[in-house]
Parts: sequence; C-alpha cells; structure tokens
Amino acid sequence: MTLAAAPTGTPAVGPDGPGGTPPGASVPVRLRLRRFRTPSIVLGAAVVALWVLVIAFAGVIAPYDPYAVAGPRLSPPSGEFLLGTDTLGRDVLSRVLHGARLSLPIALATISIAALVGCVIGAVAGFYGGIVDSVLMRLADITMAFPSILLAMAVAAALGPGLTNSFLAIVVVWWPIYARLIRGQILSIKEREYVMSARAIGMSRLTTLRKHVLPHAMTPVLVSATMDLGMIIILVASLSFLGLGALPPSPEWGAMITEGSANFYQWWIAAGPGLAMVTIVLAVNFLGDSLRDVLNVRTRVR
Amino acid sequence: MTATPDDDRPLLAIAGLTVAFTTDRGPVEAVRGADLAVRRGETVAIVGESGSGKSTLASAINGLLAANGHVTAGSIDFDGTDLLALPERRMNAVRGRRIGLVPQDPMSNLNPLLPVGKQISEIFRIHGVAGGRAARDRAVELLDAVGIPDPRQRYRQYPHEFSGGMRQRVLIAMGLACRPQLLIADEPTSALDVTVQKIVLDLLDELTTSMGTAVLLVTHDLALAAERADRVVVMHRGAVVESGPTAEVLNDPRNDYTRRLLDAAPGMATESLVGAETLTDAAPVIEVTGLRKEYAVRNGAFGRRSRFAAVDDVSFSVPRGRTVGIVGESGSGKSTTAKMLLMLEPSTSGDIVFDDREVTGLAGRDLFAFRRRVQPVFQNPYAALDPRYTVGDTVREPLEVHRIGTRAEQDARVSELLTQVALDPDLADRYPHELSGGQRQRVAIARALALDPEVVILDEAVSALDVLVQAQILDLLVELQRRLGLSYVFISHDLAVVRILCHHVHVMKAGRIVESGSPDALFRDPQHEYTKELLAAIPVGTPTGQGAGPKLLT
Repeated sequence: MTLAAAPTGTPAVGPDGPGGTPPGASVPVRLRLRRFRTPSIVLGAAVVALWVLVIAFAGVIAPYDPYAVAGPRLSPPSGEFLLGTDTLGRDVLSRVLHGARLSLPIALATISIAALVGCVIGAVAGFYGGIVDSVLMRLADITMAFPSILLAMAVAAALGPGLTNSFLAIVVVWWPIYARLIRGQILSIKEREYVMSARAIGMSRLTTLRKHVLPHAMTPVLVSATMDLGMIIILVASLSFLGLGALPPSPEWGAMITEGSANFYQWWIAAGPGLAMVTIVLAVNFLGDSLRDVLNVRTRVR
Repeated sequence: MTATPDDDRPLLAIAGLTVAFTTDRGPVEAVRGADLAVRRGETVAIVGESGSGKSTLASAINGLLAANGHVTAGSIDFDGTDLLALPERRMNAVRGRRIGLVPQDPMSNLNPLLPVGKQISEIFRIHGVAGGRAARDRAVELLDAVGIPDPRQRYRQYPHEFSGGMRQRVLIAMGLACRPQLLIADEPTSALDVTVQKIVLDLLDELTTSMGTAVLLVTHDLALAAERADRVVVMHRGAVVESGPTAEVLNDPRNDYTRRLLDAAPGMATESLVGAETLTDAAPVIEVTGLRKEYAVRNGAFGRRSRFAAVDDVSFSVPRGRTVGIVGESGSGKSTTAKMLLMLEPSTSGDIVFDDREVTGLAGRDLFAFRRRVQPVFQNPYAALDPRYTVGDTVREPLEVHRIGTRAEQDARVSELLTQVALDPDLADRYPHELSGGQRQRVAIARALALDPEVVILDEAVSALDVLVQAQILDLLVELQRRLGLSYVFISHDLAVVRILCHHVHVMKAGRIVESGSPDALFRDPQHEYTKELLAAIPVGTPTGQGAGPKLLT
C-alpha cells in the first residue's frame, strides 16, 4: 500500500544562516506568470478546479446518497455503479465525491493553521532573538525529532479518534517546518537597511515586523505550504486509515481505503478513493512546483 | 600556441561589436559598435559607469555572455582567430588557457566545497597541461607566486579560511595558471579595501609583466585606470566614446563625457566642498566619550566565549552644522559606531551626549523623541528602501509614525521633501525598482529629512554610486547642510570623498581612532603609520596630480 510511504518530514532548512533571499519583488509577478504557462501548471490548475467543482456540487453530481445502500453488496464497476459498490452496497463513486468535501477542506485548514502558527512562532523567534528564540526553536527541534506520522498518531490517539482531532494532531506535528523556514528568512531580512531605517524613525518592533519584515518572508512559506498540501491530504487519510481519524460511516477517503483493504479481491473499493487522492495530490504538487518557479524561491530540499 | 612574428598586429582586435540582450521589453543593446585593440603585453583599461556595457564587452570576448545575450554585429579577432566563429568546444580550449579571467567578487567566485588548491590544479587538468602530482606541484608554486604564505598548507584549505584579499590572489592565480596571452580582469579589486587593493594590483602588474600577458582591466575607477593602464577606453551607454594612451585621454580629454567623468572624480587635489572652517566656532551637538562595543565570540561549537571589542574607547565630538568624517577599512568598527550613535545597537560602555543630554540607555518616549533628531542614510541604495512601498509612502512613513500632520499636510510635506532633494514630486507614486541608484539615494535622504533632524548619520551613503551621481549627491548634501544647518557624521572608506566633504576627520583602525584632524592637515601631513598607508594606497592617477604618470608595464 502506498501509505507505507507516508511523509517523514525532516526538512533541511539551513540551520540559522540567512536563507535564500528571493532576489526580486521587483519584476511584477503578473509578468513572470506569463512566462510560466507550462503544461504542468495548466494541468494542475485544471484538476484542482475540477475538484473544487466537485466539492461545491457533490450533492448534485453524485448519483446516489453516499450513506444509503444503493444496490447489491460488492458489485464490480458497471454502467449503473461506475466505481462499483462497497461491503454494504453503497455507491463508491458517490462516496468518493462526497469524501472530497471532507478530505480537501480538512487538509486545507490543517495546512493554513499550521502555517499560521508556524509563522507567528518563527517570526517572533527570528525577530526577537535571544532566549525567546532558543526556547521556541528547541521546542520545534524536539517536535521535528519524531517521525511525523508517529507523532501525529500519538497525538491523535491521546485526543481520541475523529476528524477534528486528527486535524489538531497534524497541526502539532507540522508547524515547526514553517517556523524554521520563516525564522531563517527573518534572520536575513531583519538585517536589511530598510528595516534598520524603520527602527531609526522610531517605529515599534511589532509594526516593523508586520510592515517591513513579514511581507518579504512570506513567499517561501506560501510555496512550501502549497507543496506540502499533497502530503497533508495523504497524512489526513493515513490517520483515518489507521482508525485515528474519520470514523466508518463517513466517506473519508482514508477510512474508505481501510474498508477496501479488508476486501482485497474487490479492488474497486480502495481504488476509487485511492485514485482520487492520486489525482489531487499530483495536481497540487504540480501547482506547488510551478509556483516555486514563478516566484523564484529557494526552498528547503526534500 | 602559434607564434606570430608580426608584433605590430594587436593581440586582440574588436571591431564594431554590438551585443544585444533579449528582454521582456524587446531587445536591448548593451554594447553598440565598440572598437578595441589590445597589443601584446600591454594593459588596457575599460572605464565606465555601471550599465555602460564594459562588463558585457569583456564577457563577450571569452564567450561568457548571459543566456539571453548575443553578438549581433562586429568581430572579435584574437591572435588571428575569429573568436565569434569558434565552436563552443574549441572556445573552451581558449578560455582559461589563452585568455584568463579574474572575476570581480572574490566571495562568490570560488567553490566553497572544494579546497582552494584543487580548484587551481583542476585548471591544469582541464587543459591537459599537467595532471596528478605535477598539477598539484604547479598549483602550490602558483599559490607561492601570488604571495600566499605557507602554500603547501594553504593548498588544502577551503575558501572560507581565506580573507577577501587572499581569495582575490587565488583568483589571480587561477586566471594566470596557464600563462595566458590575455588576462581579463573585471573589477578585480572593487570588493577589497584600498590597502589590499594596492597590494593585489601590484601583484597583478608584476606577474603579468613577467609572463608577458596583456591585461584588459575593466573598472569604474578612473584614477585606478590611470595608474595601471597603458591605454584607456572610456565607455558610455554601450559605446566607446574615447580611447587612447592614458596620459593623453586624462590630460586632454576630447569627449564631453570623459571630461565630466574626470571633473566628478574626487581626487586628492580636488577643492573641498565645505571650505576650511575651524571646529571651534560651533558648539558640539554630539559628544562621544570612551565608547566601547564588545561582542561575544564563541570559539568553535563548544568553545569558550571570548569577548571581542568592535569599537574600543572611541571619543569624538560633532560640532553643530559641521561634518565629521570617520574613515576606515572594513572591520574598523566605523559602522558599529554609526549604529550606536543611532541607538540601533546598545553600547557596552562609554557615553554619548546629545545636545547636553546623556542618551545611552534611553528607552520608551525619550528614545522616540531622540529618533526625531538623529536620522540615518545608509549605504546601499538598493536595500535602503522597502521594495513594497512607493516613494511617497517611504518618505511619509516617519511622519505617520510620529503622527505629524493630517494626511493632506503629509502629502504636501512629501512633495516639499522630494523637491528639496531635487526629485520630481510626481515620483511619489513610483516604486524603488523604477528608480536609478542616485534617485533612490535621494529618496533615502528625503526620508531622513522628513522629521527635521539635527544630525544625519551617513553610513557609506555615496559609496555605491557612480562617480557622476556621487558628485551630485555630495553637492546636495553640502547644500542641505548650509540651508538646514544639519550636522553630519560621514562614515566612509573613501578618503578622497571624506576629504572634500568633511570639516574634521577621524581615522579608525581595529576599533580605535588612530588619528584625527582637519582633512587638510591629516592628508597633507599624516602622522600615524596607518593613515600614511591608507593615503599611499589610493590610486592617484588623476591628470592634475603631478608625477602621477601612468605606470608603464612594458
């Protein structure tokens, strides 16, 4: 199963040093975008757009009720049931489409909150330095020392199963990545002359951070978050697969794959949600890569 | 190497060379119809401002133009070979072997992951000159030749273990490794301190003379060109505007641009911009006594912390309405002093008295009030303005922070400030990347003046600017001082600029002030060994300077 390849996120941000500073906010992004209209960005955007439509109109598109028994149990894909039915006779396609409403928003929320928490902590650590920096960064180091899937499992197990708890568990595991990333950025940006100039006119530290430091540090975080989104989708599904996330009746993709694994010869049960995940993760990764090229950022090496 | 008996024919002959870059806004010609000739063994300097096309011309010679650049017209003839017609593979054999290159930045042109010696012996290997042990021995010899002590030991060290000057020597060694017929030196010393620059250039002279290598020296520094070159080529906006023997071009420039360039370059004979008023006629606005700044340095990962004094017992005063210069090389502690004066960095000990009030340790409202009265202008016009804000926002910001005036009043003040620094108020809507270096520095000055400060700390404020622009900014600074009664602390490594702008000068070395005095006295009759060394290191090839004739290499 592909889940064995769950993310072991050990990012290699330059330890302290001034990370790569994006050279130019000078050329308008609009201009640069035009040069990057590559097949991968178009394909990625198209697939993501398709899934957004699915999330919006799942109720309309889905041929059956995802929770209701629609036909005979374990019937293979056919004209009537495009992706077959599961152990209870529910339509797999309808469940996959409705599952998008769970998996994707949860992943998006997770990454946003993790990035937000990470940015705040990293920015404070980098900008204020000293003991604050040491304490926050050691905390980040400790968190990152655990394999992310294991720590997420531990947290989720402690909180009890459920989608909300798996969301919390992933935030706990994932924030240090962004904290590290943004801290490195800020360390180099805060030495720039316009930051010193802002301090010299008497601007408060917090305002300086907000107006002249953070905006310049955000680009790599944005790119990194986009590239991580795919991984988070998988992580959310992994927790559900392990029984720590969404619980059985819910059409969450990871949980559906668990059901499929119990019926190994009825391959369509797991194939539906699995393929759905492959398309969205690939598309998001394409977009992330393109975004990185467009914004010309050096990010951590995987 | 094919020996050509005909020595009259130039080694390198460039005719009508035009180089264009493809950009988003269509093709841009960086070099237009340039002609250039370098004879065997002679040194030719290409002089020009940033953007004049001098570096593009140099990189066109060894075929190292950026990917979007290409030669659209003209020819480059090197020792009878048309370089533009050579296929890439044969060009590789010319590069490094027959045409050496010394690049500008010693910090980024060595591979940090390879020992220095390996990077030199690699050249022998690539060109099949020597391999294995032999290559190693020759690299060690070369390191010795460029004056690196203990070359056998140094061979195995990495670039970060070398100082800037040492790295530039290594780059020279690499450029000359195969005894090329021509060496292209693109601003070889611009990143170095003036005393180091002199040593490096002397070394370059010596080696190229002994090898009979011709040198094409690309530089923005006219005085340096005058001192080192047999012939000078002046470039302006991609075109060669004047060329000829050094003495001729400098003493009797025919082109208007060359003349302006010569006038603008401050030399040791240029008249002071501020006159020779004495110090005693004004009360001090800032008095610094026994200022000291220590940093904790850790030796190795788990080593003991030791203390290092970046600024050590520095005392001076700034009379109201006058300019006090602080001169020194990198690492002398002059910028740290500036940051302490600006209260951007706490001092370890010592006093700073501003307008009869002790200001060290100020905090909260007092510090906020102090900020209105002392403002900085920093060195780098490209980093001093936040690229996300318009010129107007940047200049208005101090007013907003200090809540001065209504929005309309602030707008009026911004226009006034921009006019004051001779900028069109309409520029307020522009972003920094749309401005030239000189314009940006004017914006930085306008911002510094927004709060009506009494003291402006100028930290290398004109060092990154081209000569002509630098002259304009210096004039502006002097005019503003007269009009607004400003006091300046002018921090610079450039003695010539300090000499014409300052009323009083302090020379700093290793954190201490080693000599002080009026610029006239200090530069005419330096007492301290270090001041003498600094003065001797300045290229004095200006045409007005007597006995400073161009140094001939052949």
